Amino acid sequence: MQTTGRTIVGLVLLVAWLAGAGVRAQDYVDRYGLVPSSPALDLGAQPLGYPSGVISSVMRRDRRLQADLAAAGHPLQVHAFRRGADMVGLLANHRLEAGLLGDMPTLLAAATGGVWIVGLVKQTSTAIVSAGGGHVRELAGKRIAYVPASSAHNTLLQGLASAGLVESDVKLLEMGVDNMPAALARGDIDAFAAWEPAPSLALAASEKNRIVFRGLSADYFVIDREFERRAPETAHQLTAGFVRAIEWMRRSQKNLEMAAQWVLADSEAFTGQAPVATVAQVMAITRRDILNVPSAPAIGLMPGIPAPLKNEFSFLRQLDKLPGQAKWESVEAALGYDGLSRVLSNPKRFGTRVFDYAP
Amino acid sequence: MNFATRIALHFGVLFLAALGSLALLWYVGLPGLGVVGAGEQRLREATRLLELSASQQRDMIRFLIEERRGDALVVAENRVLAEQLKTNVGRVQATIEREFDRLQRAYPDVYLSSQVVDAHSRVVLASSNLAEVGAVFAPAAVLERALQPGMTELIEQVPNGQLPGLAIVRQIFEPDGDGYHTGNLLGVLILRIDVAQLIERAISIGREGLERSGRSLIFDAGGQLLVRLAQITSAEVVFRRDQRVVHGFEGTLMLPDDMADELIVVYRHVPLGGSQGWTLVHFQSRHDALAALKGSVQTLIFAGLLLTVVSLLFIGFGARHLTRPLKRLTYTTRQFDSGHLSVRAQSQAGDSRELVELSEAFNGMATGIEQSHHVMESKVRERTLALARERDVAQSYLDIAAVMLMVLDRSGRIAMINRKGVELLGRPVSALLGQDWFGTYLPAQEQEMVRQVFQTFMTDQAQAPAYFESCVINASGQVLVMAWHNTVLRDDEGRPTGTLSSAEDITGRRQAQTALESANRELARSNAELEQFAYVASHDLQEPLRSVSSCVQLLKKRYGGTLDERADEFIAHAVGGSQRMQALIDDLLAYSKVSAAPRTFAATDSLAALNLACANLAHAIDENRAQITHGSLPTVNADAAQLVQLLQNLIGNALKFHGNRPAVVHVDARQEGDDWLFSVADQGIGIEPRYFDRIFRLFQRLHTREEYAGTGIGLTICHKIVERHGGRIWLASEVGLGTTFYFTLPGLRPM
Repeated sequence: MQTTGRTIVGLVLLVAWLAGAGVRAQDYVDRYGLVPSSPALDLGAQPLGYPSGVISSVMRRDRRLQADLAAAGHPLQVHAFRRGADMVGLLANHRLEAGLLGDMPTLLAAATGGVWIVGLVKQTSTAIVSAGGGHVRELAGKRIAYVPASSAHNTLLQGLASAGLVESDVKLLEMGVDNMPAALARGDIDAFAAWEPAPSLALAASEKNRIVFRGLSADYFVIDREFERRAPETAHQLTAGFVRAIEWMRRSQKNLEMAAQWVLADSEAFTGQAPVATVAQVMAITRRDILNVPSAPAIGLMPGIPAPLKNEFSFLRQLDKLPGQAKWESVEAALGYDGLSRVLSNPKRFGTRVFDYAP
Repeated sequence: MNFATRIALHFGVLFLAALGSLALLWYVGLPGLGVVGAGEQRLREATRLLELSASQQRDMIRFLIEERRGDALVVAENRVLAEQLKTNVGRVQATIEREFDRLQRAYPDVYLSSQVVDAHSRVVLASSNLAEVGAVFAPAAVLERALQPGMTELIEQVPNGQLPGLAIVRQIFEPDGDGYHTGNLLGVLILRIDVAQLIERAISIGREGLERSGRSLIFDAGGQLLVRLAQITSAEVVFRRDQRVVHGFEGTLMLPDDMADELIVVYRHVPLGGSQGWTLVHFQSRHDALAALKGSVQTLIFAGLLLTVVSLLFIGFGARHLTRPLKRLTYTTRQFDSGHLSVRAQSQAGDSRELVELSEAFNGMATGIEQSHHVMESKVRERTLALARERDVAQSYLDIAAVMLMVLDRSGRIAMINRKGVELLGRPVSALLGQDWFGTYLPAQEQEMVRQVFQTFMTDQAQAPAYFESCVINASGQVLVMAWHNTVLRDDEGRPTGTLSSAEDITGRRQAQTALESANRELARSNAELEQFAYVASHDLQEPLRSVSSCVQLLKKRYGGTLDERADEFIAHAVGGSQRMQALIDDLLAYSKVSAAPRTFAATDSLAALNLACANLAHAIDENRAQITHGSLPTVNADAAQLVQLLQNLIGNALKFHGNRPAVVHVDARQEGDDWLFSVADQGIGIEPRYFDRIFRLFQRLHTREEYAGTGIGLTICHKIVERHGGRIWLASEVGLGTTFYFTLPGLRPM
């Protein structure tokens, strides 16, 4: 336990250093009243990211899920976060019981054995968008906006490495993804690394904007191991709600449209600003990045094929962006969670085909 | 090269340089200022096209796979098939065959096979290939993954023999009443696809209208090459060697290839399922990318050359138009230069302001030159007249000269000669000028020698003698002896141009000189004979005179007073005469000895000589109570005996002629140059100036024997001694006041 405690503290400090998130994490704690190991099931969501936010918006409106969790004594509380990195520390100290994270926060959370990686939230790309530049090498000395410790950060590092550059060769500016297209249009930055919809919005805004590098990225649904150990059935029910949300959107275009409207509403409620993306854009992204992904949300570990997150782990390890105690075996173990299989194997029991959503 | 050509050439070069610069600017741009050149722009466009092409190919592959996935979805969720799997397995084969036939008709050559595998027994229940029915499905690993809960759809690479293949696997569930599955897994549907055909179809579609020179490669997640389109082995090596094309990412790179070129590499990720995917690499060499510019460059070069030629024609035409006034001005200038000082440049309508100003400036200059020319001409005339006058005056100067003046040029021809020369040579000026001096007027035997000497003067190998004498033969054949004074004439740079000579006819003088020399020689011979005679006479007369004198002395002693008075008188006369004869002979002998004695000059103390002379005169000094004084006396180079005799004669002369006053003699000397000037001064009776020369002559006396005794030889001896020492003797005297004799003797000279 002592070792685990030191690991958590180290992880929190690392995340705070990487993301400058120390103050923000405390803000979220204060804002949402997050208490370690509270009865409520606190689910961290990112309404500004699609389809991650779409899934969480559908889950928070899932009456079946709410009822099941309430009955289990863990009423569902969905909390909006601007970045997945802000949730890592809260997951580590059990203020959050679950979350939808990008691959980098997922790696950080899983590498120290704190979470289970339940399933795929999205499979898409993060991109480096440049104002007119044709090659990554032309970004040398330029101002690039990014979100520290995010999948886009990973893509940015990969892109720079492909051109023989490192972080110190460019001017990195920390910025929220929703501000990046506008900042690029104003000329405040020369490029940015972000996930959807920021790249699509920037490309639509100007023909001069170009995607100079794109990397695969994925978001994952994670559950606090400690919570799962305490309430495994509740974890299954939460997983069922996650599967149900995807199945519901797959079932009809109408459902998908409604889900898009919900996430845009949640986004506006979170930021206080009208979202830039349209319903159609959210629908297209959601279909492309999760609904059309074969077998999603199953991750599908396959022998002979590099496991998900393996390349990212090696890359971050090579760049010394992971804490010393981070181990790939921990990530591999987190990917081995069988909760999703159990839920998918018992659709009747977990009601994965029973859809009841509150508008 | 005329001005118009120069203008055309100048502007042509400038035009070409500007055109070249523009072409260079067009191609290279100004990278520092953010101006992109055509080359870079073309590379960017090519990159963009490659990116679009690669993205489109990726999307096409993705689209085609999604099409196949849709086919699999439709078949797998076929309710009839699901019902048959649950209740009537025997009908599944027919259903599969029918569905596969339908797919084949819809998408010929796409599908390789269709199978349905039992979820529990792993046995192939139905297949488009009947041979597979009843067999356990292989590869088993694929089936294991496909049967995992939640793996509703699986896209797997399944080899098709030696060729890559793709399998779309979908789980088949028991349907519920609404047609949705219950979650009860019945089996799996496996659709095998011809990967090569699928990719080639996608790429052929994706390449339409896009970059045609690009090449494509597709690798799987393990880096194995799936499809190679065209001969791109070297590029394949490049991609495998360079690790920057990373699976799972998309980007654009510039990679060096093995042909000293660069490759524009665009790579795209083609997702399949899970973390599986392919990497589509679309690339093009930089050379090929820029090849499209070649046509533009050629067109540009052709257009540029054509533009240059046309421009040069226009420039040439314009230059001729521009230079026409200059030609007019040039013509006017040449006329002016040829002496037409009144011509002026005429401006015409249309001439540029600069040319009008140039014409005006020329006219102003021409007017100034014309006026200056008139003034100059006037001055030249005046100066020419003045020079002519000066020449005439100079010629008159030359002509009145009593000597011949002649100028010879470098070749020895007469360039100028005056009237005296004309007279001496006996030819008119016109005949003399240009004549070869040496060959015409010199004796034949001297001509070549003198000519060669003259040439040494002209080549500065020797200096011309300032004076010489030579013979000249005039026109009448008369030989003239000429005394020449010469100087070499030189030009401004000091080179000899000839000689200026003055020649005096000394034929008469030379003849007189010859006669004089002959007379002198005769006189010398006569003097020598006379001196010899005097010596001989005086010497030989000594003996008889001594006999006569002894006899007369004896006669006087024995018979003096014994005879009558007349006899005593006669005896006295005889004694006196013999005594005078003896003195005369002694003096004469002394005089002769002066010349006859050998020249034995040596350092002689003149004071010692004076003392010895005074000792010899001691009786006379005492008798006359004379006072002999002297100043500082030097040592001189002299014959000591003769110096004593010289001083003795002069002092004795002063003692003899002291008159009524006591004899006072002062001897002194002072140095004058190398010589010493001696003076012997007395306060005697003095000598009238008219006798100054006479007193040095032999036997010349100014007084009677009764007044003053003497032979008249003493001062002649003094003159002879001084002359023999190379000096001279003279006197200064005033009657009644005294006489001072001066003589010079050489001082001691360093040996």
